[in-house]
Amino acid sequence: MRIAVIGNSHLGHMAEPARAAADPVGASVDFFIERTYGTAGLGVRDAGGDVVRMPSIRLVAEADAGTVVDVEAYDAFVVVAFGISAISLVDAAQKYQRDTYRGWLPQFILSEAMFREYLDAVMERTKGFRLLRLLRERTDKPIWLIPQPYPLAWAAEREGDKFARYADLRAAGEQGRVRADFEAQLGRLAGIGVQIFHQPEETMEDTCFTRPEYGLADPADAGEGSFYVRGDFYHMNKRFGEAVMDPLLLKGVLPGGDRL
Amino acid sequence: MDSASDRPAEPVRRSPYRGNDPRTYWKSAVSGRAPDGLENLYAKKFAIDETTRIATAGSCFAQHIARNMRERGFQVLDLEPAPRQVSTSTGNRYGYGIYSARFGNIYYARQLLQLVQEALGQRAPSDAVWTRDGRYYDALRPAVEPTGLETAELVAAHRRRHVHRVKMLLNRVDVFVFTFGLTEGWVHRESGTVYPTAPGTIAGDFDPDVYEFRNFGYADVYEDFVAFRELVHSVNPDVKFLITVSPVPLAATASGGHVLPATVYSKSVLRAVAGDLATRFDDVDYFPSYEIVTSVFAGNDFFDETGRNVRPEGVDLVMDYFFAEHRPPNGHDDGAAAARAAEPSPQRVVEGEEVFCEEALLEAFGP
Repeated sequence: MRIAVIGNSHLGHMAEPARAAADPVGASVDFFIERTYGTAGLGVRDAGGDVVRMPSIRLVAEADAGTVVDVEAYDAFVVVAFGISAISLVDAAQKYQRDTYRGWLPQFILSEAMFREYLDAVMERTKGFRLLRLLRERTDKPIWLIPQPYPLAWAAEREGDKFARYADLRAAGEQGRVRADFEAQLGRLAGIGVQIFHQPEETMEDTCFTRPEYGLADPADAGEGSFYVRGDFYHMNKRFGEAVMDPLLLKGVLPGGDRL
Repeated sequence: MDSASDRPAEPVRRSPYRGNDPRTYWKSAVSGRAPDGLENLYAKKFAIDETTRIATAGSCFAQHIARNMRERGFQVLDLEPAPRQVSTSTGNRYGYGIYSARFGNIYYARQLLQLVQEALGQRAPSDAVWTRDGRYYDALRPAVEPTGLETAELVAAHRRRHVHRVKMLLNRVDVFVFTFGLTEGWVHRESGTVYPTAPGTIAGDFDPDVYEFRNFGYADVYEDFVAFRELVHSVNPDVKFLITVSPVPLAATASGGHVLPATVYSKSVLRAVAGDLATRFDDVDYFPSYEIVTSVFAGNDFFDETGRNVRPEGVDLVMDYFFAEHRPPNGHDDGAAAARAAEPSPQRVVEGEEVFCEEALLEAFGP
């Protein structure tokens, strides 16, 4: 069995656990990882041999797996992050917020109906939604999504503009709606046959945050340039990768995995 | 003996028409000319260029003017923009991107006046929230939220922000483009608050003890616009006004008479007011979109089979005359024309030039 895993920086600490989960059962995993210094746009080749490129997803041309995902060559596809994130929704609400939000309101408020249209449009523009739609239109094989993790919980506790939105939504008790909004977006993808690997509950706290121990940033590390000092509340560590990739590959993607 | 040559030459009889410009004579200016061949039809009073901050408002036909000016690179203000991620059609359904703020169609001058009064804190509308199926609507712009809002308080919250943006618009605008649409309106008896649609059309319920029909006459319309102009000048003295009259007939009349003479009456009042405003005030210009579309001369057939909807060709011609005087900023004219030429008319009607016109909903109440 061959699996294509396509993702961005959030895939970094999932690669090794993915290989570790796949090897024992004879599956192989090819990684297509977006790089900021990439030189070639990701391509998707359909059954007829036509290749559609996504120039916004840049890969290193010399990567082992190449830059083209051939839908005929793989048995399943796993897409990781690419902006499919509750963080994207929280960011979007900084300029346009729903009118019933209980915290700080920006200058423009939207009715619930329009706000949902807005969130839909924000997500449709992500690389992840566009890639998933591109794949879905070209193959009936299983496609999985690992969404970008929820923000680390300490994002709601730090000072600074970057973090204020999380403190505000927590103070306003809006965690449930943030999560519901994001789940609704994942539901739209499920509607086109994308299988969603929801973030494991054991990695989460306070409804829409990730537990600090799964973060790449260590709040105890105040060294110059550390992930914590840089305010990186969205990249997770190897432990998180294991928590996600192992159950995903063993129980979901691999043949017979649901019996494991 | 006298002879003819001996008589003193008879002086040429003087006439106020003698020597006038050919455009002043029907025979030379109109007869035998195609609709797009009228010379000197419109001469601008003041310049509009790429630095001019333009506000647009009015009845449905005004949407064409706003869209075309945006497409040609003019600086049409939008104080309540839709999120950029949202498609134009989605935004339009919620009243975004149609005019310079999200006020919906403003069909008559009293509406415009009351909106500005409200924006400047001089007036609070009465009976401003209507309901339908358990949802709440802003009675003064009921179409901007197609499914209404959850509570009356939310309607009020949205309205507060809206009128604040309208006030900002008044402070920023250089040229206010307004298209007069109707004279028939609906009024809250007790307060005089006017509404763009009859209660019971989109939301609300028509109670004749609460609301009354009013067909605004010449004096009403004229005085309302003059009051509007003065109010705008009270916060922004240099604003100029470009006014037009919509050529679109009434969808329905509440006058009890036939809709055809009711339309002619309504348009006649508006046209007369527009003409007098432009004559009286140096800062008011009139652009004859109404005449271009409705005048019946050779080949002029700009309405579709309903006799009400203006064909895209008619809109294009109106805008061609407009842009012949108000030249689009460099580089925009050719692009817009090419896009138009490349796109077949039916598609443009359905997608590109869909107008949002709640007045047309009145047809649902007809036979």
